[in-house]
Amino acid sequence: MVNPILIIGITLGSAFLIGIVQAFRPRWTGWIFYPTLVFDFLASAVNLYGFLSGSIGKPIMVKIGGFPPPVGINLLVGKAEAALGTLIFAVALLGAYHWGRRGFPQPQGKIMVLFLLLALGAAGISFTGDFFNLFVFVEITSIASYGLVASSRREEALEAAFKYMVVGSISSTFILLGVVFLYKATGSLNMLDIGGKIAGGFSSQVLGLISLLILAGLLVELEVFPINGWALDIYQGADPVVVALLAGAAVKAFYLVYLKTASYLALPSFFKLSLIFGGGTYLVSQFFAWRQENARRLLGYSSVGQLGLLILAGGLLLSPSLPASSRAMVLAAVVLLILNHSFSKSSLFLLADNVKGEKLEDWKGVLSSSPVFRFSFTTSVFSVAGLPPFPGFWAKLLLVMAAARFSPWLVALILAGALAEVVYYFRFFYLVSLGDKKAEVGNNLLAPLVASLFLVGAVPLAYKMAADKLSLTLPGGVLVLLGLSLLVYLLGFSRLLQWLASLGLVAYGAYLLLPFLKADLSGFFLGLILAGAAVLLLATYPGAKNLSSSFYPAYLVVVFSMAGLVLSTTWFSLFVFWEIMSWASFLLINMGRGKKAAWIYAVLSAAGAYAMLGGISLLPSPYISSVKSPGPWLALLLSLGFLVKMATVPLHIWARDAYGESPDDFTPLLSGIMSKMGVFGSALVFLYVVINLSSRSSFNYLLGWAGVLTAFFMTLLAVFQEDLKKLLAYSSVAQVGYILLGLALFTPLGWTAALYHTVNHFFFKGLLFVAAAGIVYRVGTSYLPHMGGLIRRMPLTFFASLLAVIALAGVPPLSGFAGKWLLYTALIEKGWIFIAVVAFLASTLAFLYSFKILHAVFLGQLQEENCEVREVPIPVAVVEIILLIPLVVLGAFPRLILDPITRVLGKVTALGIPDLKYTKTLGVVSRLGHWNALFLMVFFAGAFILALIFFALTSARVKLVGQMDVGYSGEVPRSPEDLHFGYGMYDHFRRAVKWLIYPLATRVWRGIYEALGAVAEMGRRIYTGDTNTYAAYVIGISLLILLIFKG
Amino acid sequence: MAFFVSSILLILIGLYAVLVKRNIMKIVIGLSLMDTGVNLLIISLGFIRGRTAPIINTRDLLVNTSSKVVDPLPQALVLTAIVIGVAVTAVALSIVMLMYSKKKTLEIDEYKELKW
Amino acid sequence: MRKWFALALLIVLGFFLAEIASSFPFGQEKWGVSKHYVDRGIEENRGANLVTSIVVNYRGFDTLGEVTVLFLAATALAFLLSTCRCRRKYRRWDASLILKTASETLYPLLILFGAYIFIHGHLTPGGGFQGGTVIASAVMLMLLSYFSFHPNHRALSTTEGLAGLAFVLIGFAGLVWGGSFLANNILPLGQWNRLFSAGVIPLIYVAVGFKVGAELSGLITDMLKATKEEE
Repeated sequence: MVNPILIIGITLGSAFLIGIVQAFRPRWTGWIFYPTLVFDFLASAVNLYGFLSGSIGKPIMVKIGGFPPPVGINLLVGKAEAALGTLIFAVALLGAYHWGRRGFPQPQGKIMVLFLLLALGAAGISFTGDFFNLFVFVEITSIASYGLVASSRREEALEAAFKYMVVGSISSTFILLGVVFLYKATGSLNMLDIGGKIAGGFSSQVLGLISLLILAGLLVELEVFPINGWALDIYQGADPVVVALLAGAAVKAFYLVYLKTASYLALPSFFKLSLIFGGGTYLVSQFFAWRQENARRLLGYSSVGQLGLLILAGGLLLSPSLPASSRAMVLAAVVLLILNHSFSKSSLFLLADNVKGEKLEDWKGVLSSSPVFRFSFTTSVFSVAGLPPFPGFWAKLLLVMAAARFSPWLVALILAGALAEVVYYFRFFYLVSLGDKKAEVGNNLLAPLVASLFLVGAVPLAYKMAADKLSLTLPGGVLVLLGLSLLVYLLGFSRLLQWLASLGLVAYGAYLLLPFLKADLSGFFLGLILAGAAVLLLATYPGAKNLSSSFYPAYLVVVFSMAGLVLSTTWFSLFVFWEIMSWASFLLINMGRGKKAAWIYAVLSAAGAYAMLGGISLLPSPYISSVKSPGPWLALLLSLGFLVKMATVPLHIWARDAYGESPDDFTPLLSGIMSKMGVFGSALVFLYVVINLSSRSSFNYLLGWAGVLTAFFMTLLAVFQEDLKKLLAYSSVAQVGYILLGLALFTPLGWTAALYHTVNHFFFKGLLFVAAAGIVYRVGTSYLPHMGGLIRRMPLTFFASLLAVIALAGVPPLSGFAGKWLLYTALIEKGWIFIAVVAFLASTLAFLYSFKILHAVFLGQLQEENCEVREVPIPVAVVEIILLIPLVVLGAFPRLILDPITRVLGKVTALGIPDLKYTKTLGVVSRLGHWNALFLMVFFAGAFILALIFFALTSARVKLVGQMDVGYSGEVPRSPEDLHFGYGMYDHFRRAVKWLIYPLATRVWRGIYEALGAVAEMGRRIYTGDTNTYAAYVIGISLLILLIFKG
Repeated sequence: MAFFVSSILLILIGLYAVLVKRNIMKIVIGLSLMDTGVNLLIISLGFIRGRTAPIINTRDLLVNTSSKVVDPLPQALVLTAIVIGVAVTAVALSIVMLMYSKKKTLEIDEYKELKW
Repeated sequence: MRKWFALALLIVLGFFLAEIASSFPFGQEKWGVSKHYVDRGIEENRGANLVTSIVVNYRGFDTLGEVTVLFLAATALAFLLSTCRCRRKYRRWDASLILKTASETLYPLLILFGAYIFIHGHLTPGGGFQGGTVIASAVMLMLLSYFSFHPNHRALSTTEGLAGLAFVLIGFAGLVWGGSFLANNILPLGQWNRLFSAGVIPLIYVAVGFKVGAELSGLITDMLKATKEEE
C-alpha cells in the first residue's frame, strides 16, 4: 500500500522544484517531470492492485494533521479512487510522452507544472473526503486547465480558454456557495460525516436546494447538454494533448465526485436528474455530430455523448428501485465505459495531433499512410463506438441489460444513441479511408499506439466482467479460434504465409468443432460454414494480388464468429458473435472499392443488431429455446438484424455495392455463407419466437411477402445491371429472398426447400463469385461491356459458369431444379397463391439475367484488349471444379442432401415430419407430383452431347472476324461498347418497367438520413459561440435544476 | 440581514455583467465582483451577534470560548476563497491580454470563431 | 431583450439564494464542527488566532492547495505572457519625485511590516497571505515609481519554489515524526500567546508569507513586463 498523501505531496513538491529548476536550468525540468508522473502512476497502480488482490481490505483513510474526521481533512481512497488515480496518471503519462516528443511550448518548465498539477488536481478531486477540499482541488484542476487550454496561444485556443474560464468560474461559485451553505446546514464539511447525518435522518428544509446547487456546479463541469458549448470549443480549439488529458482523465474525476456527492447527499430526485440530463446529453450529442465537418469537434461531441451515457448510468446507480444484480451490472458497465472512453479518446486526439488540418477532408487517406496509424485509429474508433470485442461493447451490453429492468424506453434511448454514434463514426471512418493517395501524417504515434494496445489488452478483462455479470458463456473453442485468427495478423509480412496459416487454422477449427457436427440445425449450418470456408479460402490464393495484411485475420474472424453464432444456445452469445461477424465483415468490405457502401452496411447492420439487443433485453430468459409469449414487436425486433443481413426489401440498399465492391476474394464468402447466417437467425426466430405468437400466421405471411418481393425486385434489378459482381449481388439477394419465403411458409416442405436452397445457393453462387473474382483478376474490371468472348480465353470458367447459371435458373437437370420444385410445391400446398405467382414471375425473370451473365461475359466477340488474358489462376480453377461437382451430382441424386435435411428437420419437432418420399429410382415424390432426377440428368446430358457433336461438326463453316470489322449502312461504331451485346441489353424491357425499378427505398432511406442531419444541423446552432449566451445557459439550466428537482 | 441582501446583490450584479456586457474586461470584472459577493456572503454566514473575533489573546477568552467568539471556520474558508479568486482573475487577465494582442479588440462579438 | 432576460434569470437566482440564506437566521449561534476548533483549539495547537489554527493546521491541506493555486496562477500567467506581444508604445518614464521618494522610504518599511504580519500570524489577525500581499504591494509601489525597477526573477522563482517545498517538507516531517501529514506535534507547542508557540504553524505561515510575497510580486512584474517596450 502506498499512502495516497505521498502521491499528492511528492507531486506538489516536484511542481515547486520544477519552478526553481526552470529558472536556472530549463532543460533539466524533464528529469523531475517524467519521474514524478511515473511514480504517481506506479503508486496508484500498486494501490489498485492491492484492492483487486484483496490485500487492502477497506478504503484507505488518510487523516491529515492527525485529526479524525470531521475535525480535520481526510483523504478516502477506495477501489474506485485507486482505479481512477491509475487511469488519470496513465493518461497523463501518455500525454506527457506525446507532448515531450513533439516538443513542449517554451518555457517548458512552466507547462510541465501546469500539466502535473492538472493531473494532481484530478486525482485530488477523486481522493478527497472533504467538500471544501474538493472545491480547492476543483480550482486547481480548473486553473491548470485554463492555462493549458490557452497554451498553444492560438486564437481559437484563447477563445476556448476564455469561455471555459467564464463558465468554470460560475460553476465553481455554485460549488463554493453550496459547500458553505452545506456547512451551515449540517455543521460539517466532511463527506462521510454529512452522508452519515443525512442517512441517519438529518434533514433540513433547504438541504435539497443546497445539494442541487453543488450538483448543478458539477454538472457544468460534466458538460451536460445544453451547457457544454464551452467544452466543445475546447475540444476543437485547444491543443489535442491537453484535450486528451481533459477528456481522458480530468472529467472522469468530476464524474466520480458527482456520483459520490449525489449518493452522500441522497435526495430522491437525484436519479431522475441524472437520468434526464445524462440521457438527454447522450442522445442529443450523438445526434448533433452527424454533419460535423471538423474532426476535433466531432470527437468532442462524441466525448460529451459518452459522458452523458456515464451520467445516465450514474442515474441508474442512484435509483433506489434498481435490483442488486442490475446494480452490479451497471457498476461494471461504468468501469468499462470509463476505461474504454479514456483510452480510445486519448488515442484519437493524439492521432488528431498527427494530422495536418482539422477538417474531415484533411484526414482523407491517412489510413493508408502508416500501419500504426491505421491500427490505432481502427481500434479506437471501434472501441469508442462500442463495437466488439472492445470494452465499450461489453459495457453497452451490461448497461442495456440493466436498463431493461428499469424501463424499455431507457433501452431504446441507449441503443438509439449507440446507433447514431455508429452513423457518424463510420461516416468519419469511410471519409478517412477514402482516397488512394497517402496523406502526410506525423510520426508521433507511440502514445496512441500504446493507448489502443491498452484497449486490446482490456478485452479479456472486459469479457470476464461481462460474462460474470450476465452469466454469459461463449463456446470456448470458438474464442480460441478467434484469438488465433487475430494472431495471423502478425504474419503480415507475407500474404502467402497468412494464406497457408488460414487454411491450417480452418482445418484446425474443423477438427476442434467436429463434436458439434451433429444432425441438427446448428450442425447443418456449422458443416456449411466450415466446408464452405475451407473451399472458398482456397480460392483466395494471394499470388500477386494486393491484399491488405488484415484481410486474412478478418476473413477468419468472420468464419469463426459464424461458427460461434450457430453454436450459440443463448441470445447473448448469438448477439455477441453476430456483432463480431458484422464488424469483421465491415472491415473486409471497407478494404474494397465501396467505402460508402461499407458505411451504409455498417449503419444498417448496427441498426439491426441494436434492434436485436433491444429485443433480447426484453426477454425474461436468455436461452434461445425458451421465449415465452412474445409480442409481435419483440419478434420484429429480434428478426430485424437477420433481415438486414439477408438484405430483405426494404433493407437491401447496402447489398448491391457492398457485394459488388467488396474485395473479390471476400464476396464469395459474403454471398455464399454469411448471408445464410441471416437465414439461420430467421429460422431461430420462426422456430422459437414466432411460433408462440398469437398472430403467428399473419406474421409469417408478412415475412413471406417480404421474401418474395425481395426475390422479385432484386431479380428485376439484376436484369438491368451492367456490372458483373453487382448483377450477381442482386441475384444473390433475390435467392436469399426465396429462402426466406421457404422459412416463412413454416411447413416441413417449405423448410426442406429453404435448407436445400441454402446449400445449393452456396454451391452455385460461391462458384459464380469465385469465377467472377478470377475474371476480374484477369480482365481488371467487373464492367460487363468490357468483357465478352471470353469463352475462348477461359473455357473452364465458361463451362463452370454455364453449369452454375443452369443451377441458378432452377431448370433441370442440375441441382437448382429440386429447390425450386420443392418451394413451389410447398407454396401451393400452403395455399399462398399470390405469393406463388410472384415467385414464378421472379424465376422467369431470372432467366433474363442468367443469360446475360453468360452472354455478356463469355459470348460475342472478344474485346481487343482482352486478347491476351489467360484462364483464371489455378487455385480458382480448382475451386471452380470442386464446386462444380455437387451441382451435377445433386442434380442427379438430390437425396444426397435431402436425406440429411430430413434428418435435421426431424429434430425440429415443432415443424412436423416432411411429407416427402423417395422412390427406389431416386425420384422425389410429394403430394403434388414427382420427378426422377437421374432420368432427367441422363436425358439432358445426352441432348447436350448431341448438340456439342453437331456444333463441332459444323464449326468449320464459322468465320471469325475482328471486332471492329463491321459496317452497315455507313454507320461507324464509335467504341467497342456499342458493339457489345450485353450493353443496354433489355433496354426496351427496362423502359416498360421503369416505374417498378424506381429506387424508392434508397431515396426514402437517404431522405430520412438527410432530414435527421438537417435537424441536427439546426439543433446545434444553439451553440452560438457567444460567451454571454453560454453563461446564460449555465445559469438558466442551473435554475431549472433547482426549480424542478428540489422536491 | 442587510449583509445577506447586499452580498447576494453583489453576486447578482457581477453575474449581470457576465451575462450582458460585451466587453471582455467587463466580464472579468463581473466575475471578480461575483467572487467578492460570495466571500462577503460566507463571512456573514459565520457572524454571531455580539461576539468578538476568534483570536484568544486575553485570558478571559480562554474559558467558555464558544460563547464569546464568532464562528472561525467561515473566515478560514473565505481566506482560501479569496486567494483562489485572485488566482483566477490573474489567469483571466493574462488570457485577455493575449486575446487583445492577437485581435486588438476586447469586443466579445469578435471571439465567436468556435461554434456549432 | 438580452438585458431583460438576464434580469429575469438573476431575479430567480437571487430568490433562490435568498431562500437558502434566510433559512440561516443572521447573527444567530449555530455551531458545527467549528465548536471543536473554538473549544479545543488552544489546547491542541496553542495558536491564539483560531482562524490561523484552522487555516494552517486543522485544514492545512486546503491551504497547501491554496498555495498551489496561487503558484499555478503565477506559472500560467508567466507562461502565457512570456511570448506575449502585448506591448504598447511606452516611453521610458519615472514617476514624480514625490512618489519616488515616498516609495523608497516606504519600501523597506512595508516589507518589514509584511514580515511582521506573517511572523505573528498565529497571534494576531493576519498571516502568511496577508503579509505576503503587503510585501507584494511594496514591490508594486516600486514598479509604479521606477521604470527600470526589476525584481530579480530567478530570486523570486527560487523563493517561491523553496517556500512551497518547505511547506511540503514540513508536511512530510509530520508524516515521518508525527504520524500524519502536516501533523503539528513534531515541535513543542510552547505556551499560549507567545511568539514561539503553536508548533509548526508559524513555520508554515512564514513559508506561505515568503511564497505569496514572491508570487504576487512575480505576477505583477510579469504583467507589467509584458506591456513594456523592450529595453
